[in-house]
Amino acid sequence: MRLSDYPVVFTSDSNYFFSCNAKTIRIISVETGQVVRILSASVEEGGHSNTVTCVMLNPKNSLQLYSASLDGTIKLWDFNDAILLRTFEVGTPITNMAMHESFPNDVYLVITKKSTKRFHKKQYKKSGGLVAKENSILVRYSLKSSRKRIVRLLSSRSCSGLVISSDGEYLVMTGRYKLHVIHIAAGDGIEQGGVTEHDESRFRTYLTPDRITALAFHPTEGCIATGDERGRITMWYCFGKNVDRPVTTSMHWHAHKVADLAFTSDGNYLLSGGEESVLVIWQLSTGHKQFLPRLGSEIKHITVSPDDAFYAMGHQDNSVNVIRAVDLKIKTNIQGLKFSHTDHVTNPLSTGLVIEPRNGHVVLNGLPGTLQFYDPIKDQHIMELEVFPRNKVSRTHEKEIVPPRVMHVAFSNDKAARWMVTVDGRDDKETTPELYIKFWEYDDDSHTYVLNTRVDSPHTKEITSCIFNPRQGNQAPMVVTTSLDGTFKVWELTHQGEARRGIEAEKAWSCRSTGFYRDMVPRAAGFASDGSLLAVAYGQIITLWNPYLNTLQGVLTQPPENRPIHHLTFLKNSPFLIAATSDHLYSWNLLTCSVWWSYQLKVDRLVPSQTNSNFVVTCSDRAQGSAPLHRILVFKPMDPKPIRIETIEKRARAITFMPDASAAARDAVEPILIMNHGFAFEVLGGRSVEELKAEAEQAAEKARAMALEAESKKSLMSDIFGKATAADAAAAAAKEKKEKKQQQDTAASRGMVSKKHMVRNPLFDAPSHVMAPVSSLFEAFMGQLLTQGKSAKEESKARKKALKQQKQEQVQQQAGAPGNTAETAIDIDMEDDVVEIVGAKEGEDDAIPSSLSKIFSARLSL
Amino acid sequence: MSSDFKSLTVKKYPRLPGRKTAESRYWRKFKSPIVVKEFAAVSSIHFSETSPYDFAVTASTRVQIYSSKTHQVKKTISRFKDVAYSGTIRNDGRLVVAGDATGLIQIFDVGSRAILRTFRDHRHPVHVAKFSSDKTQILSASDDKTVRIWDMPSETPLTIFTGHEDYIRAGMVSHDNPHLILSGSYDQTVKLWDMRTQGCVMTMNHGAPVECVDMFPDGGVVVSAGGPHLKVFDLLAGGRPMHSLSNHQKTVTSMCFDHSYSRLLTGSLDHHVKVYNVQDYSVVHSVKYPAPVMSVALSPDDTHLVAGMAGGLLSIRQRVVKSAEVQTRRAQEEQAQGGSYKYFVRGQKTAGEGDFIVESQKKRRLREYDRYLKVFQYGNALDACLRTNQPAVTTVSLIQELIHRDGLRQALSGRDDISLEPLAQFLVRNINNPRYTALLVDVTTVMIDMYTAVMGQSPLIDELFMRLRAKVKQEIAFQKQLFSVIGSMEMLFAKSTSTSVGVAFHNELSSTSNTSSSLAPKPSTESPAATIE
Repeated sequence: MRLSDYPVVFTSDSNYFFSCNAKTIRIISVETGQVVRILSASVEEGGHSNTVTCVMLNPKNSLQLYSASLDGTIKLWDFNDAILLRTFEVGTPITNMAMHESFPNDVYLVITKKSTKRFHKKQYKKSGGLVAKENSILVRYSLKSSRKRIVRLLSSRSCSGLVISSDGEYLVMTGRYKLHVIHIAAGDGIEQGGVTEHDESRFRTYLTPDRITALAFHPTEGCIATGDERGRITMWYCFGKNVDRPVTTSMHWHAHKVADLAFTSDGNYLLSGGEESVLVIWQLSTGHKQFLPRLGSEIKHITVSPDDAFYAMGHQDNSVNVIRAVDLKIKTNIQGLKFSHTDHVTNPLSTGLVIEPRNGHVVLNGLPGTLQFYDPIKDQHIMELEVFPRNKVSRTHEKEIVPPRVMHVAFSNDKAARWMVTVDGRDDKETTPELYIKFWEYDDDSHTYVLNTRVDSPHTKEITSCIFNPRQGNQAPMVVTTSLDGTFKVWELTHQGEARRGIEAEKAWSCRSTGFYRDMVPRAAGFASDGSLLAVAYGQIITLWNPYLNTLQGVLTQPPENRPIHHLTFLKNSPFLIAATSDHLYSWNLLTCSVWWSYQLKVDRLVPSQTNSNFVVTCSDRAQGSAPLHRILVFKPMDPKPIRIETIEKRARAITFMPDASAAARDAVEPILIMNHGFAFEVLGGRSVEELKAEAEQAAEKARAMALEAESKKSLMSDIFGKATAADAAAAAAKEKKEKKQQQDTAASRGMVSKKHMVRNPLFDAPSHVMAPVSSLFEAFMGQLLTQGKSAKEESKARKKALKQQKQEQVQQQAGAPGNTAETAIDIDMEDDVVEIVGAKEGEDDAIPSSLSKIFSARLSL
Repeated sequence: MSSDFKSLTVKKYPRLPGRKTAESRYWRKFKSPIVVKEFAAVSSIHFSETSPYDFAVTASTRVQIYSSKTHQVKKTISRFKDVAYSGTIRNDGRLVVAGDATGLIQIFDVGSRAILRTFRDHRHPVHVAKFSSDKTQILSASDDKTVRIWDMPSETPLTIFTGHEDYIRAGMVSHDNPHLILSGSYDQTVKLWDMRTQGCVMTMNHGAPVECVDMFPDGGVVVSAGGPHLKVFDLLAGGRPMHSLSNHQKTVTSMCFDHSYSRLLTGSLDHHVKVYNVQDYSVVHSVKYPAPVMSVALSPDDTHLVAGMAGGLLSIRQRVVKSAEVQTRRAQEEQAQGGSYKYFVRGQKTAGEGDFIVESQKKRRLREYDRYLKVFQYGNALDACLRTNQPAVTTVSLIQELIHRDGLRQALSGRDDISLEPLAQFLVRNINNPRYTALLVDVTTVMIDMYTAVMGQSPLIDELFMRLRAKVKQEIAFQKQLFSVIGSMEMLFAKSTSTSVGVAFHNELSSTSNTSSSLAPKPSTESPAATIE
């Protein structure tokens, strides 16, 4: 989805707006933000074959829409039924279009002679504002079939705006430092083709000191507003005819360039926006300014709805905000994939595509410092998570402010995905680099992840990988990070402080152990699928560790290889370990500790499947003298023959398996999700996208139907009295409350053998006349009272004994483990200081001391 | 407004273990003890249950009413012929009862100090004289081994309980049932008496002469103190002992509960007052006093902790409460008042079902530095943070935020010696804190960069820069020392583990690891610091 490349256009009733989205046009409801209809969906059915740059309602019929595209065509649509009515061939890419109802058969176009290829390059550059176009030519195109359809009016270096005044008198075009005003209504001269560029009476060109970036025409008066690079807004009056020097006034608030300007339809207000992410509303008669700050991202386009009720803003981050004009509150917010519109040099896709296990959404870098949760099937934004909370501030100097970066994200693989770990940081090359590991817990109430623990500078250098252990049953979650500083660290969940009054102790993450191997640098790590073995790739060597006992279990080396391993992964339910260096792919069998097979491949990415033992790699081969070949290969661990090969045109930016329950059941290859070179998601294999989409839609339909049903249950009676449903709800709420309270009560009384506990005995709840005689109850009751304390004590004693035994066993086991190499070492340190606990209470960390003492006693026994 | 201004998030660091618990932080708020010298040992302290919570202190031959507001003596009742005991204020705050060593029990009017009633039947010293929860009766217990319930208007004993075999030094009337009376005696037993049966209904063995008894308000659990022990009995289970505690070294002389009956305080001759959590009867805090504690009391609003000591010292500790706490308490009190207009219209304003509640949004108050940050006045924000005596971590967080906004240079620029001084002071104070070192070294570098040119113009700043340099130098020397220690210890560990699994440990170094982690940026400070010279 590319939502905000070009300005949106409202329908005449202001209920919907059109958004140019690459080759298609989406009609989106203002009320719900949902896509209602898609025009130009496929080229075969007559859609545009290149990016749509401009849409405009037919001045004659407001139920029809003109669209202009870089493929050199203008198309007329009936947008209610999504029918293509006519196609006009212009032949050259169109970048701008203007029309007026007084000349319904003429359309003024800005076309560019440059090749589209070059244009693409420009487009992906993060330039902000309108795309710079070389050598724009303004032409008039006649929609009526006549002998001479195209009339060339003038050419300019690059066009940044094209408008016709509301009375149809003037056509204004801006290009770089020039403002061209053309008096188009002056007579029939143009009609006859007698007008040339040099006709002084019709063509006026005014020079400005700064480059013009935005243009708007006043709806009622003869006044043009232009915004320039330096942030100034200039109002031009009394132009045209025989005026050499028009009267201008200027307004200055913006610190950076004005990205777009728009007048409200009554002409009382002017809206402007730019890089500051602030919408400025100028009251023209008084000069009073009103601000709408912190809109989240730079403003690129502003559109005012015909009834003045809404302002729509296209933002730099691929989102459209529709705000109500009355209270300036956000009405609808539509967001696309944000990563495609960020600066990829400072904010690379370092997280890759990570599948969130809870809903199967894709998680990836969003704006700098955030993560975006995205549904690739429905092409829908789900959630944005601010990993590095900040107030977005626009730069004060020429230099951009260095943004924070999210480097890694991983989810615990339990079904609920309770934990998420992120690595983020910021390095401005001037001050000490910041590096954080953050542990997030899913909050069921707010349906988002909430920060649990933040660790400041967990490693002294950049973190190369960050993984969760695969948990089975009740295993505690564990996180391993590897870093360029030569160490890997194991993090685990600990309880801080003691449980009190039925409230559970605070949970927080802390470092459990630190390991290193010689003085090499780890670049990747992997957990075996039962979580009992940890593999860390140190250079070309794979080291195998027991994560619980912190012992080195073995070392695997591939002798001819001396390039470092970049990717390392275990496969689900198989004893194979896959390692990839820059030009080889190895499959290790851990049962024999030997290489099972290997391949000479330039591996870009390596992703294992979550449900079976397949894995996918992307690689690019460069055959002699031909274009590089980009392939996606799916392997089974046993077999060097790929079970599936896909060839793609351009390098995939990221790749992952899509979770698909039915594929897992059939033991088929899961569909592969790739982010292609143009930052769009593609699904390869498995069931078709349409099928998945249909399925998703079905589910949505079902939900909607249920909602409707609930709605329809409301009768007239209940509307008037609000009785039945409200009462039901109240009863349910009361019940829930009661249950909750009971739970709390039991939780509160669990820890102590107190009189409260016994008072709450059901015996005392019932009235005495319905109970059995006291004499028959007495024995049981007293027995219950008297044995309680004793049994509890005995139980704890027994537990202690069992624990002691266990400990001894462990110690013996450890003592028996053979020493492999003398160079390896594990430090276990408390890391008290660097661990930050969010809202945690103090308390001693008892887990680490006990493990310490265990190991110490092991050493003593040796 | 599309999204709210995010105010500065102050970093949080884990509290290091071994520090104060929340409980002890609470009890430490009872600060600034006022010590008053009485004539003799303070045998009893009792708080009035009505505001303003004055308290009666019994020492020697007089009972004094102290004001909790001023901590001064408000009234002195000294019409005793011998040593007075057990001065108690009735729960409406109007009457005081006290026994004395001659066996006399007297009731006084607090206002006029007049003797209103006298009860003379006891022949031995009366150590216990209290009001019953039934307002017209009083309880007394004496060394003549009897417990008596008196009818106040007629000055006649209603009931005489005999059964103890030694002096009775402790007693009370159950809060929820005025018919039940608890007494503790030197015969090492605690007895529960019932006025309806006119006899003892339960006897619990304490195992030492009982000095003090108390009961939870619902009458289910009894706590008794005697000798160095504290015992908890369950009345509903027939006086079964639930807990036996001996946290004191010497005899426990007095006990009291806090307002919510969730904490128990005991005073003992071993100079300590200990606080127990009644959930598990663990000691959560203890306070030391200069002399053996004879009596201890906590005010009903949990603001005053008063202890009387054997030497005649009376210590009054006050906890300053937040206004919010006072307000909730006041709201609670107001609710309890029946008969008022408020009482009758109570609950009528709450929203019913189907009512649409318009929620009023409270305006968030920003701190001063946040206000400056919001309007991009970085220098002022930093000044505001340093000026208002914020904790160091707030300032550090602010500096971090300024770096994120690329505004550190802007915040530091254009200062004269007066306005630079607070920042320089801050750096001198905190640069060696391992948590902040990395960041503050950056700030120092920037500051030195900017202000080297004007060095030597202000003696104030020159001196601060010299101090900063000395501090950095000292820290570097310290780090060097630590490293040599780490090195030698690592050698020892390597030696000891070279034969085994190959695993080295240095948990002893964990305490130093924090500081060592901050070593890396150190050399960079040294060089700019050197330029100062």
